[in-house]
Amino acid sequence: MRPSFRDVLTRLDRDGALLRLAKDVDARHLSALVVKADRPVLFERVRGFDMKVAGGFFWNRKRLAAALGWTESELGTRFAAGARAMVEPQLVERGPVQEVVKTGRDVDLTELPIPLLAEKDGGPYISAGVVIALGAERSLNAGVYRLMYRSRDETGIDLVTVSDLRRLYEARLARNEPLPISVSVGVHPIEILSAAFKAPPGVSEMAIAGGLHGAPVPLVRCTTIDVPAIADAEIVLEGELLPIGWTEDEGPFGEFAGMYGDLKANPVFKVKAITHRHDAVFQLLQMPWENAWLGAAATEAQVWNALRTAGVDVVNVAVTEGSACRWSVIASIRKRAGGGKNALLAILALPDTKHALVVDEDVDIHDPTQVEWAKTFRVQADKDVIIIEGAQAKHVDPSVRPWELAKGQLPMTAKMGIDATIPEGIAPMYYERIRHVWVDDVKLEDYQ
Amino acid sequence: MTAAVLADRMAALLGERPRTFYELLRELDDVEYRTILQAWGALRERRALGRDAHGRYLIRAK
Repeated sequence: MRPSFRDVLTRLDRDGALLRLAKDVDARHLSALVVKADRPVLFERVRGFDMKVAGGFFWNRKRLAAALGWTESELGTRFAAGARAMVEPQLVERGPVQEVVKTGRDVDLTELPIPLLAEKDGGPYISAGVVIALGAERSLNAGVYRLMYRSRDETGIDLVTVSDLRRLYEARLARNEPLPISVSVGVHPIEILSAAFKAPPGVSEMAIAGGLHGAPVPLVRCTTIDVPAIADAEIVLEGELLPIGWTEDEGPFGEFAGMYGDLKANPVFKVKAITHRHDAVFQLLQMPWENAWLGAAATEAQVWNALRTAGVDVVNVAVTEGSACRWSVIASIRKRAGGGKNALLAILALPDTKHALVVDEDVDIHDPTQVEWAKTFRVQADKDVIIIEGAQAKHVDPSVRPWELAKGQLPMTAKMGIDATIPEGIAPMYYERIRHVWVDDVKLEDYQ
Repeated sequence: MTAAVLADRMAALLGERPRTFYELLRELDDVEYRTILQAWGALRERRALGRDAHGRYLIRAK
């Protein structure tokens, strides 16, 4: 059996990697305290609410790896291997998430300590929900969508971007029918990581989660709709996306790229039931870096695959945090002549990558000083920088000036690759690093 | 303070000038957060909330 979110909390606590705050906390301050903490936080008492709150599990590479129980360097490779070994989810009779069931007039979202995250957000947001919907032939679709609190039984949902859920909703909307969905909050990090991944058509994100776990994700039938939810989640919201189209105000929202997204018109999620454990823990996902890091493993897996397909001998791959773990990639390789440029072309062919930097295997790509050193001393800008104009882009990047686009027109961007490998024709001896004398023989503690 | 009374107070604040939810919260430091959620829901159900070009909330003219 695979571990649950609660098991992760226990493990992190045992390892000293969880900050438990026992004092009474005002829910207004949840966001700020998660930002200021040096590790994930468990708020044991939140004033006016019966639920605990936990957040900050994916704030950086170290915390993401710890939450997953993986090592930092294997995020991409382990995700790729797990995703290949899919294990279908298993429907179970009952789950702890249905220990408490509230339906009808008892539905009250104000029982959840839904926090306001950023100053210009349109309201409090449920940010860590895994949304599950059924597609054709009851195929399972899972994704992570933000839900803006509206009232005791309504939230907004951002469905502006093209997604499987949007396609399912459009099909129902055309028939003037609601789309039933479940929202599981407080799930194992592997499940939220998998749900955030855009799986290929026909592949269930929960089957990928099963592959990463090496065991099926348990699902339980919802109490008011014919859709499953994660059986050992902390909280599940059951309900329907109303067939009203993109009509209600939603946002602005401090997004994964670290900037605010606009006020949008979006559909509404009507909640028909709230189910939860007796002592439920509400999870919050803090923008921007928690959301960004959730995509890091999948992006790194894509880069590994692209480089291997291009015949590049890859040593390591890392996304950079400042690029929302998506737009900028560093790779180290064992280079053959011309291999630096080939690697750049392979990385820049990926749709989301805007900047790529390739270094030799002697450079630690997780050390910014070493990367900067290679970029400074192994690069001649007129020979080692590639610029590709007119490539696919995303609206969220202000530098593509999305506001100047006509309706329906897609943005384009210039991509840049920097080959910071030792240039052809320069002997590696010129890059020999200094080594200080007797460093292997002398111990500082002997003199303290 | 009941949610309905607080919803009236929120409506009055938004009637003064458009505000973000955060600016509204800062005006209501004396109120429990859960009561604010309840009042906000009640205010939304009155269908009187609008937005300005910056996404700030305002009370729509009747």
